[in-house]
Amino acid sequence: MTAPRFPSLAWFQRLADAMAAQTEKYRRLGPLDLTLVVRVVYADGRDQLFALEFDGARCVSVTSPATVAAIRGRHPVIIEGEYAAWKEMVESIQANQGADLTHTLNFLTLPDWPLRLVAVDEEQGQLDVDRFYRYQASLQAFFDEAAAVETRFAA
Amino acid sequence: MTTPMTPTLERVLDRLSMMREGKFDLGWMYANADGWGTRAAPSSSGLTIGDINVGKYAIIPQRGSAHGSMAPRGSEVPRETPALGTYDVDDRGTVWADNCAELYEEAIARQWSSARDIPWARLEELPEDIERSVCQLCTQLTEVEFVAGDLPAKWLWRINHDFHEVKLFLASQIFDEARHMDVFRKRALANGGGLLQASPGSERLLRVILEAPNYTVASSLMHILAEGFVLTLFRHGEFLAPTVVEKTIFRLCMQDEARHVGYGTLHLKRFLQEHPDRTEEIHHILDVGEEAMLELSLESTAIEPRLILAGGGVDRMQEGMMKTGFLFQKQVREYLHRLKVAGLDRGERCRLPLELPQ
Repeated sequence: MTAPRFPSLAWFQRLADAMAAQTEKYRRLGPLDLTLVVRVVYADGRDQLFALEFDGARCVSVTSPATVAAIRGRHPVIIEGEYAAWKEMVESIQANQGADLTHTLNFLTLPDWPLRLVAVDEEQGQLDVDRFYRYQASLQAFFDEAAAVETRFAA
Repeated sequence: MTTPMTPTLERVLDRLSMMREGKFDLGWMYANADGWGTRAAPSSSGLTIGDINVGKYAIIPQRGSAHGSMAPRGSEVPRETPALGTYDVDDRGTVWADNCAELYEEAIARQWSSARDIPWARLEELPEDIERSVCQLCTQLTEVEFVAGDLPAKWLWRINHDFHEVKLFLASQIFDEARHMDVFRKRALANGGGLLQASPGSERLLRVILEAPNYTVASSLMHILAEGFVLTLFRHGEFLAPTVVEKTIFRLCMQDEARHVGYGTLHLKRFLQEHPDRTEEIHHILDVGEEAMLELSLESTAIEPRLILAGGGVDRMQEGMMKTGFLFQKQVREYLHRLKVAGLDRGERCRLPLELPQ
């Protein structure tokens, strides 16, 4: 099987598949109700969106909406940052079999740099962002699945 | 020894005789006819307390039952059911939040054990100033965390049983806070350090919370202001964690705290929708609470350990100040956003500066 490229639908689908294959682990971590939208911003200003829809103990859908307005799914929250920051995070996970102390989702988003959380729904706003905190152990475990995903990087 | 015959014993023996003769009541079998035939279906998280809110069982009354008993919402309550005399917090607007059933289930599913789920074996010997800072942080968190257990406990026994979802959620919160108190105490005592200094500033804020005149006011102060600030502090704790042990502790506590904040936000929203005339009560308590919070934020026992951890040592605290400058602003910004979601515009009135002078 060809190693999927980061970022791509195939790459995120591999994480979703890993989650689906470990039902008991994720049930124990607790259910989620969130659409986490990964936004990767490239040096030339282009960006790509990957919407990960979590329901219960599964990532039930991985899509790539063309624009923020096209995002579907419950409680959408964008986590955005430059490609280099995402790449470094994935490389850290792969080198350490899980994020090290300075590459966890919380570490990277707390100061709003190098990654940042943005609520999509104006009315829900902070409540949706708070879901990112509520599901932190599950979301970190989900991204830590990258340790076992052989990955090609765009650059 | 002969049991004395009393009217109660006499009634019980009569009843027993009738049953022996095959005379049963069976009235209960056909009680509550319009509640019979219910088939609640599980959702993706299993059969949740929200999933069983169907038909008549889904009706959350504006005013809790007048019978004042523990009879379950939706059951048939016999006329002679005695009131228990405690359930006087019976107004939906003062306790309800639309997410309380969801948060209760989430809390139960996300329970963790500080003995089992923290990788204590991976504690490392730390430089003394770092260990002392971690221990002071843990001392303060051990001190403050259980106010979010004591405060709901103070009101829980008075909340009408028709709002059982709220009671279940608050019970889960009390248990969350018990675990927070225990895990921070454990960390302080597990790595060659110990508890350090208690905080007068914390006690002043705790008093304001515990002495709040009614449940809603207390909840606004505790769930939104205090726990909102602590949520960011937990995130910061994870950020500063010197080992995977503290990282895990703060990550798990963060999840719990975010649920409490979520309840508080939608509780305040419901309260303001149903009691817009009482907005000033909330503003007033937040005036008091914000000032206490501001004082506490800059108390040496609260801020200095973080500066040492952020800078990387007691001789690099000013560097730590530069690295943590964003934190207070983030706390205030998220706090004001939550109030906005709840329908309370506090922009002009907030006693917390949006930025601290550098």
